[in-house]
Amino acid sequence: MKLFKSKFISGIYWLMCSFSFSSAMPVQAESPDDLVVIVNHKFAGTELSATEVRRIFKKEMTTFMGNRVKPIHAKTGTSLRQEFISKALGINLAAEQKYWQDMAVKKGMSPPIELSNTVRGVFSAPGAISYCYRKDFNPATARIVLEF
Amino acid sequence: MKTIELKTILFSMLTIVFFAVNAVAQEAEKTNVTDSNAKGNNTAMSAKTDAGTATAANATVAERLEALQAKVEAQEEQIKTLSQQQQMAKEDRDDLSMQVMEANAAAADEKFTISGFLDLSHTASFAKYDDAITYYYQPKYNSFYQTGVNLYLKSQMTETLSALVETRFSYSPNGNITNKSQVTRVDGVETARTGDPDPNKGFERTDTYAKYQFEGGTRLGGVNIERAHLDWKPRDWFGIRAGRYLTPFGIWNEDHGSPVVLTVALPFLISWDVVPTAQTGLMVFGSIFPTDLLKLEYAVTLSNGRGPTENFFDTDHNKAIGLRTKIQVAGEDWLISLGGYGYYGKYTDIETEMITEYRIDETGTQVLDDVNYDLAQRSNDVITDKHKEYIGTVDLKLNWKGLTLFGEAGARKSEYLVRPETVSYGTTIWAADFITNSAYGMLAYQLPLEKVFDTLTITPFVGVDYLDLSDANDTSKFGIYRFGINIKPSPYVTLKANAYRVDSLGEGVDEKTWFVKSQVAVSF
Repeated sequence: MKLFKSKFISGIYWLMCSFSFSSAMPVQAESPDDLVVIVNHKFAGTELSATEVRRIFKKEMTTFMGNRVKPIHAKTGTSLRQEFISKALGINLAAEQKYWQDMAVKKGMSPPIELSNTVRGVFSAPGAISYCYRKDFNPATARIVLEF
Repeated sequence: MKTIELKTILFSMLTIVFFAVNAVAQEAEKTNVTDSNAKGNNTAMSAKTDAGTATAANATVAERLEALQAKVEAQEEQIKTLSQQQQMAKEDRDDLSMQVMEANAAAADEKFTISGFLDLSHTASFAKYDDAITYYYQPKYNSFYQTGVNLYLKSQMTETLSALVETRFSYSPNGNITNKSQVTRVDGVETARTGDPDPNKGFERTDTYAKYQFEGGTRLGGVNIERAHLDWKPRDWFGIRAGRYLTPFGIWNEDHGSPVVLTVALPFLISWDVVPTAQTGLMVFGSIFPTDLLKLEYAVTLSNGRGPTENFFDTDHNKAIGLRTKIQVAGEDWLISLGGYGYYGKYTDIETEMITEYRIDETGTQVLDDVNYDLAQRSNDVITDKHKEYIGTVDLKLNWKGLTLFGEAGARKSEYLVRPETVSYGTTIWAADFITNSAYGMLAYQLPLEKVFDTLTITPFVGVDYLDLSDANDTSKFGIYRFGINIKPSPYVTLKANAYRVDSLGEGVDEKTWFVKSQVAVSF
């Protein structure tokens, strides 16, 4: 009994230690300049993987959970667009342009539409998916499905 | 004494009375004065009180004024704020209008697009023999050449419905060599002269020169419909395509545009039509994404198959069927893709004729024979060529960072049901069954220049190519060894330079001919 008690206490001690250790682990803080992927409130699904986002913005994937998706880009040349294609597609603007020129020749495809205000674009179109900085995000107008 | 004393007393009493009265009078006067003073004081007090009241009233007005002023100021501030808010709302509304216009414009841009590409190439050849057999198949002379302009019209009518038209404006058929002479010699003596493909004709070249009514003229070109189809695609895994479409095989055929493909010259597999590059009919297609790494694609084709008029009309009842499958596994900077396509169809060439049956009646007159024939006048198709085609292809692509290894292999077996016959010097020759094989492989490396140059990409490459046109003919085997460079200074422009050696591998035609080709291709 004594042994059990001491083991129990020792266990609690270690649990607390590990808890305090895990509490001390660095947690990535949210920053207003974080890039977030947002969708319309009617968008099916609560979260997307980075691969799914890449496929959607390359128009390889045009439906998600049975619903049509509408990718919306920020205007070319904006830092938002640049940051997104770098993080989500893993390429630079020139490579993205080259990709769409090639796709135009191969399949007659055109790139996603561009809007200067992506948040409003997402708000107004069901199935829309886009991205913005966290500081520009408004939960009333869209949902976050992925954070970079 | 007593009198004096009395008088004194009286006098004293009178004095006292006098003084008393005087004192009283004085007191009374004093009292009056005091009263009047008091009255005055009261008046003053009253005046004073009135003045205080007035002062208080004055103070209230001032306060009111101040309050009013403050209120006015507050209201002014409020008006200013409201005005600003109104202005902001107006700007917001304008912004929204702009957004709507922008969104509509963007949607319209996405809804209908026009694009295309064109190119200019140069070729030069270096053969050991000026009369090398290679020149029967490949261009001999140092020349600029332009094959045409491809124009794309794409419309996304609804979310699921779209149409794509790709037309190629070309100089063809002008200058097309439609028949070549083939001469056979024995001991230096000509024993046979036929034509290819028509054995009964000699050399023929199309000339489309059209003379104007009065002076001059022009050489007419042509328009080729590369593909024109309607797509209905409700899901990624299911779509239906109807029209003329590119056969979904391999890598090169669907890439096909000069700004996209790596080299100037096409691989034999494509240029010799081992597989039909396009078909007219229906296609069911789709792709699924089982995991983040994996992508599976399929396509089932049903078409007229190959034939002399297959792009708009079939010459037999049989329809060609095909199945395409492809598996692709991709990570962040690597990709493995393996695909295959199988095809079965019948090629049929016919000559349609009209037959009219007559008989001589009792009066000796020639009349339609409706006695011996149900149909005295009927049509008849004479089949001049009918053969089955079995085609199979495989394609592989490996990509790791900038390094890409890719290749395709295809084989076609032609099995005759009705053999076309050729007559040469009185001898009839029937076509034999044959198998065509072709394969190519390429290794390319895109130099890691993205940190130095934003848009420039430079991709050197090497490759091999093989063609055996017919296993029934030993002279139609070729090999190609190629190397070159593909440069993209911008996403819209591609510069290519490549050299390749064509080896004729057939018996008795051991030749090696070098070609140097360069090209500028533009997509717009």
